[in-house]
Amino acid sequence: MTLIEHAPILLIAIPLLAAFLTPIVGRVNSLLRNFEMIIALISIEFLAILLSYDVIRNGIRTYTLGAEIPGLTSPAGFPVRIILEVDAMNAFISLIASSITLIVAIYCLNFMKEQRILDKFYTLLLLLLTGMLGLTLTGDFFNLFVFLEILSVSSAALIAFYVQRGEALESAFKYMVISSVGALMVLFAIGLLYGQYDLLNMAAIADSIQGSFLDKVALTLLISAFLLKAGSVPVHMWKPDAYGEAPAPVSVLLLTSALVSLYVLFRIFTIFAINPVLLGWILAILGILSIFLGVSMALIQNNLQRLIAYSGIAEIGYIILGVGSGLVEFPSPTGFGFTAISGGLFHILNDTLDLGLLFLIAGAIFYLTGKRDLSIGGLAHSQPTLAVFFLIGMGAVSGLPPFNGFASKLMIYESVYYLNPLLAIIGILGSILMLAIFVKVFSAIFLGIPYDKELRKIPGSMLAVMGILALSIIFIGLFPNLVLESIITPATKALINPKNYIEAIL
Amino acid sequence: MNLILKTEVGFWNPIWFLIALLLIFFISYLIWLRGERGYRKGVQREAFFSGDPPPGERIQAKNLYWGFSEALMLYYKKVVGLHRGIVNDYVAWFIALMAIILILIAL
Repeated sequence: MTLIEHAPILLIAIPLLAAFLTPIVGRVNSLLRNFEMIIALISIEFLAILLSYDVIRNGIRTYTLGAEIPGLTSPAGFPVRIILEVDAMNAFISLIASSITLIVAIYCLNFMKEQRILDKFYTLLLLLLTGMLGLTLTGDFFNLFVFLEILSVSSAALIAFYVQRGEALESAFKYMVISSVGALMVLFAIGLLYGQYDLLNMAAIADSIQGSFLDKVALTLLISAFLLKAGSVPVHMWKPDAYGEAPAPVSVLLLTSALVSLYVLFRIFTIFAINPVLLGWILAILGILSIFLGVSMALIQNNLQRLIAYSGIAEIGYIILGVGSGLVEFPSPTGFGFTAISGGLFHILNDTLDLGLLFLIAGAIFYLTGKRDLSIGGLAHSQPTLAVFFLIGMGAVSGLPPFNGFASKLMIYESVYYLNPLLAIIGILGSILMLAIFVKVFSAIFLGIPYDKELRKIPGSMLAVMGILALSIIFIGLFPNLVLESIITPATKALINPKNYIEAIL
Repeated sequence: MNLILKTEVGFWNPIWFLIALLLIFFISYLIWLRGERGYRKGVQREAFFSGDPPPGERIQAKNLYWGFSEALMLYYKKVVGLHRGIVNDYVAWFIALMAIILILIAL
């Protein structure tokens, strides 16, 4: 029995157990609680790296709960137990989720220090990670629903963290309503599939699927629900409310959970493969609408977190545009199709880093000034490091070379141009507008007459975390091919070859 | 280790871009060195309003794209109207999205 054999279940079990241990340890000592949480998150990060390395090197790894041998998935010819399935695609997503949660947790140690009920905050943070990792690693639909619910409930509670503000409570309520409706549709779709095939395992259903009318209804419900969770246009409206009112580091986790939802959407799309050309076009068009609406709405925002949230909608648009355009050619994409999907998946990583950095900077500005709007001005005089971090985040999110966003957007533009030049042109215009928006934000917050009020000092751990994100952005920007060849290309191959995903179970 | 990102019809070499960028910065610095040395200190932060005293109401950086949003006022009126923040609308859009995808897939 080796650690790597049990890594898939440990990735879910550790944050779940740590979540319930946190309030108990917190009763004893708050420092010990922080230590316990960080140790748990470092362990998860280590396991995620180990698992990613293993699946990229050795292929798909399955884990059957309760089986004598973890890899024994179908003892009676069909899968009956809870099965986790990890390939390069979901290993990549789990690596992003665990890394970002660790970064956010370190940031929160000082950012949230003066807040009360931190035991509950950290419990919810770990539960949110459990939901994200469970959604990513699960191989069956019912557990997908369970982890979706864990993710939704913990997210809603975290959005309402500043409960004394009515707006935070309202946003959390809206998120709960919209998540419940989405989850209900997921459950309904699972019911439709289970009713027809007596199966809950995703690979087994994908193997048996007939493409009947009921299958199409189920696929529609699943795709719509995960588009809703990802925050694509026209079901994006909850996002500015939630991201704008949640504590800034929580917004980073909400963004990551939206990207996890996108992964589930792409997985369902590829393993079911019902009408891929049409669905690929639908995704590409929704992507372009998200870009256009996201940037145009961001332009008129005065609340920094809401502004970044709208930019996030546009960035999700780029991912959907890239992957959707590639999936138009599914199941045998040409070089352009492969590049489009790779670009889209690469943008998932870049998006998390770029928008994550910007949200954390927004948090630092709130920490310094207590303000979320753009009427601050002159902050660069006293906070030059923060201004430099903002410039890096701004360049990256706008797709400026040599930052990471440029590489993935270049891949998306070029391959989408092959599908339809107009889509690529709108995408490029979106990036230009994005730059214009963040130039305005930089000018409004950092330039001008020095900020006249006494400012606090940003704690070193917060600066260090932002520094790590900024350095990652520069590193990936300078060596995009390194990341592409080692992580993204295996993930793309895993996504577009659903046969391997199905055969690993059956 | 190949550091060049190759796409289907082109390539991207960030290292060469960085070298070119540094070269441009160096040339810009040389030009800057030849600049005006007799500038007055302390007036740089004052708002310049064509030599006139600035208006009472301060125009802030957040108003930077006022002209853009004014020109697109019709679009913004419609789009902002759709973002009223009422949760019923959110659910209605979700149902509309499901209906459209279902019609397109099923037919």
